[in-house]
Amino acid sequence: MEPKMTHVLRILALVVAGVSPALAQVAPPPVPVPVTQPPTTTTATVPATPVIAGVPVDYVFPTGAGMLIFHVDPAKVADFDAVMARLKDALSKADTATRKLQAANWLMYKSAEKPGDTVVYLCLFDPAIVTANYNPLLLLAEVLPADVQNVYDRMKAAVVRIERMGLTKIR
Amino acid sequence: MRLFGVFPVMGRRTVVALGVTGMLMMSSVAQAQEPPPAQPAAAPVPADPFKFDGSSPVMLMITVKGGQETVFEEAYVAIRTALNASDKPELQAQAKSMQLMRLTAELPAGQNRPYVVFLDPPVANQSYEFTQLLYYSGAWKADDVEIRKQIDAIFEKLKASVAEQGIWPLARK
Repeated sequence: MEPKMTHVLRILALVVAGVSPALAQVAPPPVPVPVTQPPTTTTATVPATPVIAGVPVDYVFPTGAGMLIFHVDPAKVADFDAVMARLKDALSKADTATRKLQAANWLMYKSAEKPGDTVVYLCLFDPAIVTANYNPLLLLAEVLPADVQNVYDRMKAAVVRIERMGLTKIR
Repeated sequence: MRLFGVFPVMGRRTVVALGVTGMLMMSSVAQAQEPPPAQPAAAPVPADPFKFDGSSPVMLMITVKGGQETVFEEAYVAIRTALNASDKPELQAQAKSMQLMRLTAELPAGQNRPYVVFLDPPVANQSYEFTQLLYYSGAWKADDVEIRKQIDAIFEKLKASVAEQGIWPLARK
């Protein structure tokens, strides 16, 4: 089977354009892949996610796995790295087993592709604690209350946007 | 409220697109639609984009045609099962690395669904390309007529279900 090379990026950019102008403005990085198929345009709507009382739904992963994608200002990468490292360290030293477990299963990656307008980080929660909140700011407020405003300011300046992807493991 | 209100996650509609955003950064490779060649030609063989040196993690994004999710998952699980049952340690390691995850969000009927596989790390110098896994990995005795039929059936499922594949090289933080 000889794979045909194609350009997912353009297809996806069109998908994104249908739902998020902000995303559509992001130019994909240069990818040495020729386009062999025309992109298709689709739009999507998503039904409500199950809500856990008192917990913002967007940072909860009731299916037991999930991913947050952080788009970071290239000039603020050091700040973002520092804050996330601090968060993870604080979670691992937290008093509660839940927070320790969150830290243990919090895998963090950075795109190795040449950055475009932003540097992309992936936070994979595998497994995710289904009732836990993975909002980094909420967690920072809990585990680093004394520094939270400073940390928040740095995060706010560094992060252009965050996206969420709930995942289900296939056995 | 200032603390948490200014830093929102994007709306749910974006979540679907996102399956996607990851892919905005990815190199991509279309699912091959051609059956495996009977004999390799003498021409130079192009590098296998699904073969990695194992030094850094990689995320594979597989986009599956709407309505074909079950077909794809059956094929994928069959491959993993065969690799895992192999007596070759490298194939067993490969099976272990191939944890498949499906985008949870419900999508409109017919819309392609993203799946991701985090290879952290990928098994060095082992191809993760489906045809290679099926026909050349040694997980099956592909030269046995009856077994070949089984492999062909899995291949047909992949051919029917996979729309595209992408490769996203990552660095562990």
